[in-house]
Order: sequence, then C-alpha cells, then structure tokens
Amino acid sequence: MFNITSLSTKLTDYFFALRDLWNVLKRKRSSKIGLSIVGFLSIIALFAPIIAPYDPNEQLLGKALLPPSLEHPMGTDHLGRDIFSRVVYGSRISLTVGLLVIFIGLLFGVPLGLIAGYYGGWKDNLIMRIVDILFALPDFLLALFVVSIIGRGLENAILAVGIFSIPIYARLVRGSVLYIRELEFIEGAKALGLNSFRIIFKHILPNVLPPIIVLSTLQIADAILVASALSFLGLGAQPPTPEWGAMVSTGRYYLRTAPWVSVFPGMAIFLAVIGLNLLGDGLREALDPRLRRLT
Amino acid sequence: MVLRYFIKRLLYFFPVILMVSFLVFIMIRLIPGDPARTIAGIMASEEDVERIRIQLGLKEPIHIQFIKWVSNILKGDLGISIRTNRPVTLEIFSRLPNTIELTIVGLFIAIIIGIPIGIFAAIKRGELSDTLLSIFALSGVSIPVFWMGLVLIYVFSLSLGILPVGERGGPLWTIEGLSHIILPSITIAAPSAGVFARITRSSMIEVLEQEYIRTAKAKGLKMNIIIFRHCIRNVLVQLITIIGMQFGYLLGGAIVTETVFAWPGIGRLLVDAIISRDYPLVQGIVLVYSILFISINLFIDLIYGIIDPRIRYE
Repeated sequence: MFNITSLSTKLTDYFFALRDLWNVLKRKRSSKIGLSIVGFLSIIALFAPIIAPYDPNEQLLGKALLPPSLEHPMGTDHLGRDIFSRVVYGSRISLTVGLLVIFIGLLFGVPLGLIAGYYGGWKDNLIMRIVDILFALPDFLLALFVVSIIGRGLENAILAVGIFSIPIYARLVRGSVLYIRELEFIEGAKALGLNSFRIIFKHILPNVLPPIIVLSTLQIADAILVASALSFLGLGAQPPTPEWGAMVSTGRYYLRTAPWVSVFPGMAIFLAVIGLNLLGDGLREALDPRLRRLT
Repeated sequence: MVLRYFIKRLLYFFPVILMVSFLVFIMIRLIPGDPARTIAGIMASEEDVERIRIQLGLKEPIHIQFIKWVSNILKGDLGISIRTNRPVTLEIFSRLPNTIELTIVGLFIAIIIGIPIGIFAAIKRGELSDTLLSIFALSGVSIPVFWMGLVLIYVFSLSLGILPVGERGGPLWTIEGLSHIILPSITIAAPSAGVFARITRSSMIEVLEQEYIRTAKAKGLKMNIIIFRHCIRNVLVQLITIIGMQFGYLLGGAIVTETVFAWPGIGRLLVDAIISRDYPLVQGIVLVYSILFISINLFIDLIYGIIDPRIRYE
C-alpha cells in the first residue's frame, strides 16, 4: 500500500543516515581525498563529451605521437588521436566496468549469502563448498580462464571478473547473517510469525548493508584493476575502444620515443583505484565502529 | 592431535584438486560451437579439424573422456600443444622454474619492504610518518602492475640505461641474472608489499592494545624490547596465512609481469596460449597453476597448525 507519510519518514531516515555517514567521512582527510577523487572522476565521466576537446577516435592527420602541449595536454598516440580526450572517455568505460562487475556480484552473491546464512543446513553446505572452490584459485587466473572459454572482448572481461566477485559477496553476507540471525529482534520477528522472506529482506538485509557498501567500493577498485590488466594483455577491450588498460598496451611499442602514450592512461587507472580504495577504507571506518580505533 | 589435523587437511586437499581438474576438463567442452573448429580456425580444412577432434579425444562419451583425462594427468601426460606440437608438460616444465624464481624473489622483496613499513607505521600511529607510509602502502595496492613495469622500464632501462629491458639473464648468482630480475621482481612485489604493510600495521596496533603489552609496559620493559620480543612475534604468526595467500596472488601477478618484461615463464606462456587458442596448453597451465596454488595453501595451513595449536581444535 502506498503511503505518503511512511515514505517521507523513510526519506528523512535515509537523509539522516547519509548525513551521519558524511559527518564521519569528513572527519578523516584520507576519506575526503578519496571522495573527491571519485566525485571528480564521476563528473568527468558524466560530462565527457563536453570536457574532451576532440573525438576520442578522431585521427588527426600528420599529428601522430606529438608530445604534451597546450593543444594536446597529454599528447597524441601513433594514430594521431588526442590522448587527453581518450583518457576522458576512458573514465566512462572504467567506471561502467566497475559498476557492472559489482552489479553481477550483488545480484547473485547477496541472495546466495542470505540463503546460506539464514537457512544453514545443506543449502549452506552446497553454496559454501562452491564458494570454497572458487576461492581456491587466484582471481586473476580464474578471470583469464573464463575469457579463454568465452572469448576476448570487454563484455566478456566484465562477465569474467563479475562471476568471481559473486563468492566474495556470498561469503561476506553469509558471515554477517550468521551473526544477525541470533540477535533478539530476529527472534522477535520469528515469534510474531513473520515469514522467512519478510524477515530476510526487511530485517536482515538492511543490517547487512554497511559491509556490502564497503565491499562494493573496494570491489569497484579491484574490478577496474583486473579488467584493465585483461585489456592490457589484449583479452579485454579491443581497439579502437579508449579503454585505459588497452591504451597503456598500445603505448608499449612507443615507450622509448613517446612515453606519454602509456603514462597518462596508466595514471588515470592509478588515480581511480586509489580514490576508490581511500573511500572504501573511510567508509569501513565510518560504518564499522569496531575498526575506528584501529586506524 | 597434529597428525589428525594433518590428515583432515589432506583429505580436504584431494577433492578440491579433483574439482579443479574437472573445471579445467569441461572448459574445452564449454567453448561455444565446435571446439575443434574453433581451435583449427576458419581457414582449416575438414581433415585438420577431424585430426584435432581425434587428438583431443572429443569423439568419445564424456565420462570416458574425463576418466582418460584424469588418468593421463596422473601419468604426467597433459596432451600435445597445438601450436608447437610438443608435449604440454615439456612446454610447462621448461618454463615453470623461471616463474617460481620470479615469484619467490618478488615475495621476498614484498616481505622485506612491507612488514617493516607496517611495524614502523603502527609504532608512529597518527603521526606524519604513519600517514605517509600508509599512503605509500595504499599506492602499492592500487597501482596497475603492468603500468608500473612500463614506467620502471622507461626510467631505469630506456632513460638511465642502468638495467636491462627484459628477459631472463641467467642464474641469480650471476650479475647478469641479478640485473635482469630486479625490475620484474619489484614490479610483481608492489601490490603484495602494500598488503603486507597494511595488515602488519593493523595487527600491530591490535597487539599493542593487548593486556600483556600493558603488563610489559607496567613492569618497566623498554619499548624496543616490548616491540621486538612481544609484538612482532605475535604479528608474524598472523602474517603466515597472508604470506601464503600472497604467494598465490604473486603467481597471478606473474602473468602480467612476465608479459611486460618478456620473462620466459608460464604466465606469459598462458597469455600466448590463450591468444593463439592453444587449448591443451591453456588447460595444462591452468591445472599446474591451480595445483601449485592449492598446495601452497595446504602447506601454509599445515605450518599454521604447528605454530598455533588453537587452529587444530576448530
């Protein structure tokens, strides 16, 4: 039933929760820096067509491998494309990759973790054994493995990295559910005769959200790193896509004469990942008071 | 008690290996379309495709194929590389030592850089040096390894000309060998050094707040003695598991690092095999990688069981 009063209370609740979070975040300089970097990159990604002076794939005749100048702040590559414009557009790709990867992880990992943690028994056993197998191998190897099966390409790279974020979410959520399940208010909800579905989604899920938010921030960072490494190896984004990892790879052949072709896209990856990691660390402290004293 | 724990861990080890080899086995059957055709390429003649089909044993029933695959592995036969026509085991084991060499040197560098940074940052907690070291550690975790490798090549090989660009220079005890491994091993070590520093720092801080440290302070022990005799030992025990895990990540990192530095290991071989669709070789390398990784974790678990008796009772 739609109810305007309960909706507005909810919105107010969210508003206060966000304000509290912001208050804790802004107390630490590193979280502020992280948030600024992530915000900055998001704005660049959002307004890429306005910010980029050239089309990312436009090949300027006779202007190959120009060093950085006022006209081309990051120089041009071997095909005479403006690297600054390509880096700007690349932010769209990398952020999308990160978001899609955690979307896959959330979509499958969270329900699996909720089921394993809440029901226990054979469901828990089955899910966690599969998770164990996936954890038994290094994630980069697994991602390569999947790409070798389904073929190269950016979409496939996203899928490969996404699949392996599922067990990470499942394990985290299960652990939190195991703890929350034993708390009194869940006992109360059960005593009231609420069905399991309602208990899981209305009472357990909101309490698992903080660690999920922290993990997601760090996972976006990780996804950007792994996906760009795949593209660097020629297994992810294919030319002429302005993907950062692929751009670093192109520059390899001109490293001696035109290092800027590789340097700037790599710097962009570094900046994005460090920003997300700073933000993730900050969120972890903000949302997990137990950790606050450790840092 | 130790024996029972060992047996339990070993019993867990074999099903995991079996599951992983099953995964690797079905891989080739999951390739969309006709795998033999995909491997041979669009231009291949029907005879070539048929030859590959027979070579891969794709014409037999699937359970027979799996049994054959497992028994061949046990005999040390991983099939024939499509590209070079040489046995996969030969291709892998001629290069595996190079990967292990790079990984171990990288792990060593990560440990001697990461752990002292973590300890020092924890002692100086909240001061400027702590902030700077923490940023340094976070940079290690956040840097794209392939890019860092290129930057190092640009600075130390192309600009300064003091270190070689890539490839292996020979045994480690020769100057040639040592100079070739410096850049790739630093590159591969960076993320792990960051992880070691971060984890050492937080577990140091945790240990420093323990009751027994307060007791040690109360009885007037010098801070240096407390740190070296009481804290670091406890932190190191916790770090053993992390070191084991990092060994696996370094093996993963070797794939990228070897490609950047043209290091003749199985990581670069894997990338080449994927690009040229040499599936028997891909299968073989993934299997060897996995067994290596799982064995290291088993080994770490066993060591941990000896050092920390509490683990055995879980």
